[in-house]
Amino acid sequence: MVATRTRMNVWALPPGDQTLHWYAEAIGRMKALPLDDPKGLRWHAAVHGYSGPNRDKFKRPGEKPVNQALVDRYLNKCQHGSAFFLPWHRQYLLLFEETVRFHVRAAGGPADWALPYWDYSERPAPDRYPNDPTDYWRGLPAPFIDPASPLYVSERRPKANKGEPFLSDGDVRLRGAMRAPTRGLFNSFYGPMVKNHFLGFFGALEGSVHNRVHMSFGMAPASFMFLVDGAGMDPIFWLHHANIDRLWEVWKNVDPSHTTPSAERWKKVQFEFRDHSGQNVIMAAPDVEHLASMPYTYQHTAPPSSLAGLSIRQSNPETEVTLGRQRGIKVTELGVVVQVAVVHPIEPERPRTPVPVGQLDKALSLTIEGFKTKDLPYVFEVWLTAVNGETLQPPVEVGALAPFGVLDASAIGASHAGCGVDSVVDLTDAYLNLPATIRSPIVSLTFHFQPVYVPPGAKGTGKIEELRLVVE
Amino acid sequence: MSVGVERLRGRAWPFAPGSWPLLLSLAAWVSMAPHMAAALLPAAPGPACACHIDHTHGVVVGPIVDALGWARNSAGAEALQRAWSWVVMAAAMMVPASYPILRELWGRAFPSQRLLLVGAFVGAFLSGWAIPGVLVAIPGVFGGITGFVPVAMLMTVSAAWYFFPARRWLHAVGHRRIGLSGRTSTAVVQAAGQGLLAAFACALTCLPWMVACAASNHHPALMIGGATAIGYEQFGTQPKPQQLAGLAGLSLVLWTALSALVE
Repeated sequence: MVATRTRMNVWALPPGDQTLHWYAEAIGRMKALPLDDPKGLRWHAAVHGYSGPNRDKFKRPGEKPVNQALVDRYLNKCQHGSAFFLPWHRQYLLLFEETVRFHVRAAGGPADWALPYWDYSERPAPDRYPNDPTDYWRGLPAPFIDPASPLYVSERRPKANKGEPFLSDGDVRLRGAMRAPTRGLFNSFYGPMVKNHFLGFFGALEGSVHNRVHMSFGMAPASFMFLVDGAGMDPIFWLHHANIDRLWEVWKNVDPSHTTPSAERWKKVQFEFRDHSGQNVIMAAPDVEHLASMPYTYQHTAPPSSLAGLSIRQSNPETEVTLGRQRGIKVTELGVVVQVAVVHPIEPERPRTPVPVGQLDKALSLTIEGFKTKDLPYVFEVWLTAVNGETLQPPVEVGALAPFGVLDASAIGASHAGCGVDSVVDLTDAYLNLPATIRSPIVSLTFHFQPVYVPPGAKGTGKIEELRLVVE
Repeated sequence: MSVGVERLRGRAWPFAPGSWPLLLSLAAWVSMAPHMAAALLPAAPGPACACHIDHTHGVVVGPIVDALGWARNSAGAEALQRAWSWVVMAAAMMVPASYPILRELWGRAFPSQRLLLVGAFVGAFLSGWAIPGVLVAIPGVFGGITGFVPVAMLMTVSAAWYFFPARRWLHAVGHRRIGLSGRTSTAVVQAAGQGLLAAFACALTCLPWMVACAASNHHPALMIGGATAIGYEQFGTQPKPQQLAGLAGLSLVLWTALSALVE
């Protein structure tokens, strides 16, 4: 299929461009439609998440609940903690874009309207605001913070709606995700090959940039973007996901080993959607796995300069080895410090010499398994603070636990049975950058989980079922 | 320099790591095959079939029990036979369903603990399944459930059970992860705990069908139908309740038709 439209970086739209004007026009119309109308914004948001205590967020006074058969068939279907995260959201975004185009055309707008993407990681090119001293691209474009615009929602943290750059370096850093291998039992770009709403390890892109941007909009219930059941109500959600969809293609362009999964399950699992005309749409991952087969393209899909010198991980799910683990970790609003002992010798001919000096041709990861909380749903930056008990100066930020959806995943009565969320932090670069004198042998690593975006006075606890050091 | 993990894989085993318990399942199916085949043959004078398995008590007699040969005519022996046949059936049908947990347990364990932890899981899993087996073994309770009506009722309950959200929740509970300690002794207890949790959740999700299998004297239509439904649910692409319920109905129809043909 030849691309008929180009999704542009929202920061690179030329002066006088009407893309956001028409987007606002369409969103205004979509907001007015009832929940069960597939041309409405609430329908599209509910397709992503529609369950649990936040379900009533969609209901208006006097409105009848959605027919249960429709709910079962179409709503609450987003794929997270799953290899289908990317293809499912690509199809979801495509149908949303077609709905917006329907409204744009109805309002007299251009027939080739395309959803822009929000690139928060890189300075825009061309840079329309070269004299702006801030990293303005890490904030929201003007129409999204204008209270008179349909693109504005009050359900965001105040800093976001003031137009200030509110995303941190760590929120938008791409390096960890962009070097992730295609396959891997724990550390992989796609995540586990399971069809589910929320269960399983986040893929590298999902667990980093995707989750962190969602969660940096502020905590529930004050923020739409924080919630699985409501994220789509914020018009910026769709530009964020357009960027995630674009980054899938960027990752493929980083290295030839970055491909689509070859598993049979990838080809067979099907998903059901409803388009704006009410027609059923059945899709499987192969239908959308190649950008070239989509009716749109992106302004930029080449790896940005910030990814120069990226060391690529080659992983094999048959070769993972647990080196050390720690279980039952209680986390508070102050974070937690955890020491993980390396107890397994990974070179049999050198027993009790845990981690060898030299190149690591596999990924060394910290898995964070079964994080559950009812009142501590924050992003935790993970810092490597000590090796073998000796404090590192300065400590090294190795990644983050960004538990998007953790409130749902912690609910015992939900379909995931309170399993919590699973995430992976890639330690390979941090390990390789340690001085050789420290690195051999390593018998323990100490991590500090430091919460960010914690509202003043907030209290809470959470539990990590298990931390593991894994080579795969 | 490679970290040497390639050498830790254990290349001798041709299948995925942690999959060796599937051999238990295979052995269980093989041991039950003659009995299941006999159910498809018309009743004839003399021995029911040439498999040397006692069909008269309506249970599969495993080779170990058979070899014991003690008190074969006592009620205790029949109860033991029923319990044994239940465990063999669980090993055949349910161990493959626990493979994703086994695979993950294998990956999470230290290499030196892997066999031990997987063994603890499987042992606890089958022990957990043996508890309903003991109930089945009580003479006059489940032992008395035979014939079309009870089996049809059980299969109807099985089909209806697929539509309950509680069943889906139980299915998810069976796959909950339990943290593993660095200490081997504690980790073994935790792996066994996960095996028991998986067994109880699994038993509650599949019990009506399994009792129907036992009540039908392990008829292949219900056994293979059940294994297909379990496998489809576990490894398929999230089948709909109506598909699984349809499979239950089909199994019941096949059982009825094949039983009528044999009689």
